[in-house]
Amino acid sequence: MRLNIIFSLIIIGVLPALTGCAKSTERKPHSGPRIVSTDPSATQILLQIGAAKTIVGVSPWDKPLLPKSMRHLPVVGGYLNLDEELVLQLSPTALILQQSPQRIAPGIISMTRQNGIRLVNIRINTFHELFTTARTLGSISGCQKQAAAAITRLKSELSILAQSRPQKPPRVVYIISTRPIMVVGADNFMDQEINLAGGINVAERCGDGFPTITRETLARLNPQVLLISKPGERATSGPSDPRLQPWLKLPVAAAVHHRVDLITSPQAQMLTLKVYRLIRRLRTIIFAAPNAGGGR
Amino acid sequence: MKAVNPSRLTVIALVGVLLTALIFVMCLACGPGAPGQRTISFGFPEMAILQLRLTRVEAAAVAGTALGLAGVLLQGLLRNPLADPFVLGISSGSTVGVMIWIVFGQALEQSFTGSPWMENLFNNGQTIPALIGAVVATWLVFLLGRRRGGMLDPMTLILSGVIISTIGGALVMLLNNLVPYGARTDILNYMFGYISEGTSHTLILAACISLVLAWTGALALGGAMNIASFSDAEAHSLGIELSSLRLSAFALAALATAASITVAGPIGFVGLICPHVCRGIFGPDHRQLLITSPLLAAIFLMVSDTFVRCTGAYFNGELPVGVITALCGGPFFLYLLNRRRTWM
Amino acid sequence: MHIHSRQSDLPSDAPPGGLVLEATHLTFQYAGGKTAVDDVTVPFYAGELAMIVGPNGSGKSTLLQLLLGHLTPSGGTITVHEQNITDLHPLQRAALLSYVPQSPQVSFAYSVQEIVAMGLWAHQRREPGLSVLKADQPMLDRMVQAMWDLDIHALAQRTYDELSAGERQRVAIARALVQDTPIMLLDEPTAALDVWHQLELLDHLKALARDRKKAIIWVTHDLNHARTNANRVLIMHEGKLAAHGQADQVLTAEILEPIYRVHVTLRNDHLLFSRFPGH
Repeated sequence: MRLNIIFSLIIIGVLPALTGCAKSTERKPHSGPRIVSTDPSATQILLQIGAAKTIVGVSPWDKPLLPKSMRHLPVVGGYLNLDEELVLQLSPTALILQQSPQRIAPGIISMTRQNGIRLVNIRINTFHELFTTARTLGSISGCQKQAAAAITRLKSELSILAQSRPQKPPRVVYIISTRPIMVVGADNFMDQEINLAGGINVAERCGDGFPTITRETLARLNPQVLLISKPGERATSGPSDPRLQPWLKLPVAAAVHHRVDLITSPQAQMLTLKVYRLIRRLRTIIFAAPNAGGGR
Repeated sequence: MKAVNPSRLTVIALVGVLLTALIFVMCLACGPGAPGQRTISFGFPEMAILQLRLTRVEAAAVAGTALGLAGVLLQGLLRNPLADPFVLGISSGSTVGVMIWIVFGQALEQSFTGSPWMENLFNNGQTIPALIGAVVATWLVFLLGRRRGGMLDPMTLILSGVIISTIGGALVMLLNNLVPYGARTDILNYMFGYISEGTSHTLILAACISLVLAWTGALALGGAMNIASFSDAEAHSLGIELSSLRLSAFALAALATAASITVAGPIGFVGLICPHVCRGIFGPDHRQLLITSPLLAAIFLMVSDTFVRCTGAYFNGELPVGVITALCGGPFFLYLLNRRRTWM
Repeated sequence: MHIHSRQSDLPSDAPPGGLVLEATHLTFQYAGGKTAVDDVTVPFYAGELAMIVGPNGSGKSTLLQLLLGHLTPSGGTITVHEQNITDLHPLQRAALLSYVPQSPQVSFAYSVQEIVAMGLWAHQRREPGLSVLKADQPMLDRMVQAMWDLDIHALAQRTYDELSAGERQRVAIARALVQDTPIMLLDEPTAALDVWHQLELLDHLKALARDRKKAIIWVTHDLNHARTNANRVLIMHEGKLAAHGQADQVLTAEILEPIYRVHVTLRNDHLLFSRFPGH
């Protein structure tokens, strides 16, 4: 037993040291901001405000979303399994988290405090929080101007969307996880996206955040458009797509009129400064002509 | 043999089936209130919604019956009242199957696009890999659990099950690190078991057929299983062919467990507790247990699942049904344990 | 050390009744390689009470389980009623041989009545037209009789886990009696019994051997018990059959001393044991 512990300690001690040796060759001199981001939305926002060069470490969730030239960046883990030693070796100026403040591990707080790393805990659940966060990220990365410009641009895009909001909004349910069925409820950015895209999120009634519902409740909500988020999967091949079949059997208007569609954008469940494109896409789907039958 | 005679057995079976049918219908009549309202509705809804409920209650009934049956068979086979369908590594096997599917399946799926049969297969999602995983794990446990002249040995079998479960658990953690990050919530949900209105009718039918086969076979084993609860030499001296009995019990339990995994994933506790409750009420005679335990398990799972189905609004979304089976079953189990000190 | 075998002097007053069970060059090796029974050849006759004695680990229980057909011999054959025991189906075997283990095991809380009734399994399965679920009247009578004989009729509804060790042993014996087989194999059946029940059982089994011509094969540690009651005694030593024959011929100081490593004297027709000086 004791031997086991000693071995584990040795292994735990040696592995980061080895990786550290490999990394030390590419360590750059301390010039300008160096940011470790454990939140994919924050990473995307940093990219969007032109602060790509300031990113020195990312989370595992970031990997598939990064441009090829940045895939080599070291992965420091997420907020639950942060590799503090690796973080220190990267000698960042700021560490980005997205977590409720009282839940941040004390070790992370003391580690950042002792090493003069700025701990930036962000929160992006609504559009308002997106703007605040983008400003914060702009200031820690030295890209305040670009951040301000991106915010202004997004605000104007959103106002265009709000003005061109169609007259007859269809009833929409947006599923983000299928087993069990989890839908977009009230008071979150995806709810705002549905509204901006021109639909009514009928699942708002089911609760805040992302409530779980049964197929029976889904049938009673009777959406005219059913959206299913499958981030990163291949786009739908049309009404015969096997992933759509279980939903087309439901007794809801959306199934009857073949208004069931997959949202496969990898960033569908994130809020970033490029959300305008996503909302445009949602609007196209929500107001598309039905695949079968009459209607709009 | 005062306790068991054919007429008593027939009465128990008839009353049990009628009670199960009654509760089946009652479960159909329960549903969640209007969306967003914290109410429960009673009464039969329109056809479309009734069909959704029917699928789900059917799936719960089939999965429950299968778990109750597998529980009796395995507790008898292993001479261990703590055995349940998942002690033999079947659960971890199915989870490994699902993990492998999530890691490697999507590439496969794309290469098969266009073939309607394969698309139908993939449409049923995690069921097929879960089943394959369960079968592989069961087969390994079976191979490891044999001793001397190929006979299954209860102790070796339990140990093999524990080892296969542990290896399975390690594989799940290994694969978990290879899974694309988005799929991790899926696996968490899978591991708790889940009964869905979206269960395919083909799967329910397949599970139903396996269940009927397993149950029919098992009913013929009851008397021999009573005697197999003596030591090997005693059972032998009383005229039991132990090797073939154990092989049959093992195969039938695996078939029943597969049926339940097919429609509901790995739901714990039902297969452990129902044989116990029935033993407490009706005594340890396997000829009765093989009838009462599956029926009780069906009732237990139908009611538990109907409860979670109707009360999503009270709990910020639907609870996993395993939470209810453990929360309701656990205290009742303790009550029985307390009432009767020894559970041999 | 040479142990003189007395196989030649078979009992001149062999009990009436034919050969029912015979082991020929019987050998059994455990998976680990240990030879528990080594080239044992011995016959058993109807109507006799044969007792097997021997030190711990001498292969008595293994021999019994071989004779029962539960263990498969590594070499040699066992013939029961002129048939090779390995050719018999377990149900056929159960109609010929019954068995009482040293310490009976039951994994679930069956009642005494249910356990005794399980002795009927082989009969119910063999006789056509008889429901597996329901015993007929003669069988029920036999059950009740066995429970009276073993003094457990008052415990009929009690569950096995509530019984004392002696009561459990009596339940197992009753189960074997209900089986009503021509050959009974008992592994220290009196180990947990009080004196009164020991004598009761002995009388009962003797009567079965005498009146119903059953062959009773009894493993015991009590050499005086064997000396007083057995028609024939078999002494096992290190897997071999060291001697067998009439009690007063084989239970002698000459044979017992090297096997048990104790000093043996016979006084008042009773064997007395003491340690060799210097041990």
